[in-house]
Amino acid sequence: MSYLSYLTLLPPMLLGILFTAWLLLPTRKANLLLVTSLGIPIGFGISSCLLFLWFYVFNPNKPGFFFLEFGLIACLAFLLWRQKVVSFQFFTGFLKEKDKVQWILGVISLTIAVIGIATFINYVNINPHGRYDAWAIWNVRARMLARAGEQWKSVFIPQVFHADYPLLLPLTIARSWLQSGTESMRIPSAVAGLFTFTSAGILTGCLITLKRWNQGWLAAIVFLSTPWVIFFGSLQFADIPLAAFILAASACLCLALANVDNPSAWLVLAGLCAGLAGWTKNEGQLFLLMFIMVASGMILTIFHKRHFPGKLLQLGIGLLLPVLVILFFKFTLAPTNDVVNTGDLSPTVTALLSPVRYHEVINGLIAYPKGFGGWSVPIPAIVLSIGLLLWPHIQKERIPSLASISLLLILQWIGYFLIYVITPHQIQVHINQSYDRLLMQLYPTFLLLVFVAIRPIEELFNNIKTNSSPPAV
Amino acid sequence: MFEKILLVIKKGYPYLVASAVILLIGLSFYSSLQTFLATSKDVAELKGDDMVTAWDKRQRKVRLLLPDHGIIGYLADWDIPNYKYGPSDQEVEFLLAQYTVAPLVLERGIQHDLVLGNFNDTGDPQKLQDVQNYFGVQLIKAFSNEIFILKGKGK
Repeated sequence: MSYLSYLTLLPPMLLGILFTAWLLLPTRKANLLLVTSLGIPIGFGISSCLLFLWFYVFNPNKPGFFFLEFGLIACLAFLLWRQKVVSFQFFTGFLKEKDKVQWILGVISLTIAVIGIATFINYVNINPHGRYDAWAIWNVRARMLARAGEQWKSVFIPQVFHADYPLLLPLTIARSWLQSGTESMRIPSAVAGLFTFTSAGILTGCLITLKRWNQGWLAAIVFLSTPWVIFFGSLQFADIPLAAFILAASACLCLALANVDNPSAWLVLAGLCAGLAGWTKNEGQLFLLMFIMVASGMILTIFHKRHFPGKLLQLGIGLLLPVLVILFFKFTLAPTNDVVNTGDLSPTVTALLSPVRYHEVINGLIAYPKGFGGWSVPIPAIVLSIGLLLWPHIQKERIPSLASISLLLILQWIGYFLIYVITPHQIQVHINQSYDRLLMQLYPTFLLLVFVAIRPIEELFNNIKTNSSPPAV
Repeated sequence: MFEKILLVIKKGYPYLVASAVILLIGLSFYSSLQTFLATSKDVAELKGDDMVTAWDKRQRKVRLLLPDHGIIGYLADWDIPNYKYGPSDQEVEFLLAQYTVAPLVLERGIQHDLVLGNFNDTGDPQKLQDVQNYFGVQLIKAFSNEIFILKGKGK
């Protein structure tokens, strides 16, 4: 049964892939890699939101959730079948338009992905239950939800460690355990692995959609060869899933702003992914606020006055389900947060108004000892060199996309900084325990920014080809 | 002369970028392979279960003796006055115990009808009796040399 329990992950994955394909295929812009990589996290997100509502309306013991998922999958499959011509072009189109360099880079990134998967499995064999946060917060909550039956609400009390944390991951795991009838430890690690490797897919898929094949594969190579990516993914923490949703929301917003003639599907997906980031982790709720500000601002700036209410509505449609679920959870079940006590905001305000706290946080960040990435070779220096060599060419039509990703990253980092300012914990300890994970949440989106910003490498390879070709007779 | 240098730089520029890309790919490949080999070595050296699995296997049957849900108390070495203990070990064991008995919730202290006791076995036969005397709790069942179910002081 243990291996068969993997099958229980298929319905949400299929649901997400079909939903994403249904939205993106008519745009004729997406590719197979992007649809699959976006679809898997989105499927887990939608499924966990629906399961939360199912728990609320009925209870975890009430059978039938599988039929709800199956019904949705059947509806989406029917809708997709009606788009069959587009679907065919979509699948065949992914294999066209490639030259030798693109194939070579594709094969290399696939090889590094396979090595990454093998490394991930090694880490899982060493720590099958994940590390501290996994069993102290996420997997224990999954156990509580899967085991408590009708009493599932009884675990949302202040005595439980971080009981206010959102439930995307615990519900995704609990759902599989309930459907398989066994608490297989293969499920949390499989979910962690899917989020880790789909992040690379979203990164590459987004760049390929922007017609930057070589950059796409290079981004995947850099991302998957970062030792911390595979390591943090295997820990079964919520940081890599959150990173995946932050990247997905940023990528979809970037693609919406790059396709101003037909941005609707991208806006819906961007809103949905930003909402699901908030349903993954509390830092995701900070991202959700930043995303709403940045996306609304960009829509107001880019689109004609006549169109922007419609565009805002599309963003809102995507946000609707996860935001409703987050509000429902926060206002009816979740106990007070350990950093921000909404019942008494005076310590928070006092800390925010104290210059000493800012100074302490800056000193704490300077003294932060861990660095980032875990590389034993100077890969960041090479990426920086390539970035500098290719920097000078920012296309005008890419400026809104670049501005939106940059703003999201900067505002989110400022948000993290302010969390340290208001923290009731000892600042240096809090920074040392969490700053690496916070940076990891932003890392794939930072790579997206770098590889969207630099000049297309294709142009240079074409130059080399032109230089080395024999002169015309 | 200056124009010639510029021309050389211009011509060499794509090759410079291509070299940097090739170097990046080579180092990325090396980095991935090195991490894989290091973790493979760790896996080869694995002996027995990891800490969490071992704890979970040892303690999971205690769940059968406890209520299905609700809150019970939790008492451990960190509650005994003047007793030497590792604070991080105590916190880890508290969270591991919570992981095992979930969805039952553990609350530190004795203010519940049932209390889960987790005391390091020092070989001192008097230790448990001293704990009972000091906190006013009563032993219901000894699950192992270290894990005990105690009658607490109820809220």
